[in-house]
Amino acid sequence: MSPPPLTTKQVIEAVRGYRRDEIVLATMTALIAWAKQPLQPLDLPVVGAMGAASSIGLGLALARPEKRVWVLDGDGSLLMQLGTLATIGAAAPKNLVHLVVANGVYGFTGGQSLPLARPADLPAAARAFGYRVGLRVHSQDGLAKDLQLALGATGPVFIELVVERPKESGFDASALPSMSERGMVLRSALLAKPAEAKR
Amino acid sequence: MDVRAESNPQPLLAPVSISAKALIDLLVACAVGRLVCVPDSYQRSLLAELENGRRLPLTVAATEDEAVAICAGLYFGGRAAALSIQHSGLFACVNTLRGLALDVHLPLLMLVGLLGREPQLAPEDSKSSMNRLARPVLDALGIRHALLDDPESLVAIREEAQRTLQERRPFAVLLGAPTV
Repeated sequence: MSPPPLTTKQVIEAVRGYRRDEIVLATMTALIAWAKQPLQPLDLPVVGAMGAASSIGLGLALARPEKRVWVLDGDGSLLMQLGTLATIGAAAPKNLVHLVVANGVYGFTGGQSLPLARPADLPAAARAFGYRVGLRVHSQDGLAKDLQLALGATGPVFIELVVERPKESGFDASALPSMSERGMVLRSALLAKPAEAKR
Repeated sequence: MDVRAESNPQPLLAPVSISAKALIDLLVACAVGRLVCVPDSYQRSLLAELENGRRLPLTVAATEDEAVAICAGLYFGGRAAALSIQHSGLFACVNTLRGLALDVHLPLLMLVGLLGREPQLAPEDSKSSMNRLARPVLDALGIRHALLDDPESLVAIREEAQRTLQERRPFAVLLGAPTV
């Protein structure tokens, strides 16, 4: 008997359990789950620019090589700008972890299926483009061990977290936190760090 | 029908090429710490200078959407970046410019090459829709811009760019001739 499928809530809470002082970007349904807890200064909700989360994460990773950057992406978002795998692979940021919560649907527009045939192997594609680690997690059995391994590995790291199709869809994007406001909170926090370190 | 394309074009002085060094000076004067590009034929010498030199790091993106988003991430990380693309790339990334450069108030310096621009014609009088539509698209987005046709206009353009970036708004420099 196959193990029960993972849920978005399970994988996001598992990621949260490992979070210390990393910059965390979240978008689409991963953001819905991540924003269930109050956002921290180093959290960035990526709203209004579908597909851009991993590229924004790359910019942050280049700007702040001393910080680990985790991107909580979606499979639909990744498909929007799939070339990001090549760009990140070429830039090769050691501090970037790209997590893709793969639910197989466009959650915000009503749960329509993605144009993604299974078994499309996204981790293999990421490795082929130069990510140092590319792995897929699809059951509770491997979740903790694989996350711990991948989140601490030298990047760029790609983790596909395969979850069940969400029971809810058609989220209200206007209720999400503002990227503009949170981006400035993040920027202020990062720029304040050197001064704080001197004290 | 585009009335401009049918009207009698006004003759202009032919655009004069800008040196890669002068453009890098412009970037540095605007506090840019990295150039993010999707390669553009008109900026070939600039890109070669950055690939071979050490004045600014260069990141090449697969698409202009990604390039704009990388610049946004650099800004959130406390670093200023500039974008180097060609006019077709401007059209390709309109939605990302809207979502990031405009809605997030990104102080983004954009270098946009007008590949194939006819000498002695204003871009709006070009037979090429890519040149003809570049400034109207920027106007529609509310992105300030300047046509860099002559090294003598660099100082005024630099000052306008600096003012606009300080307001946390994007600014586009349109390159009317290949850099040298």
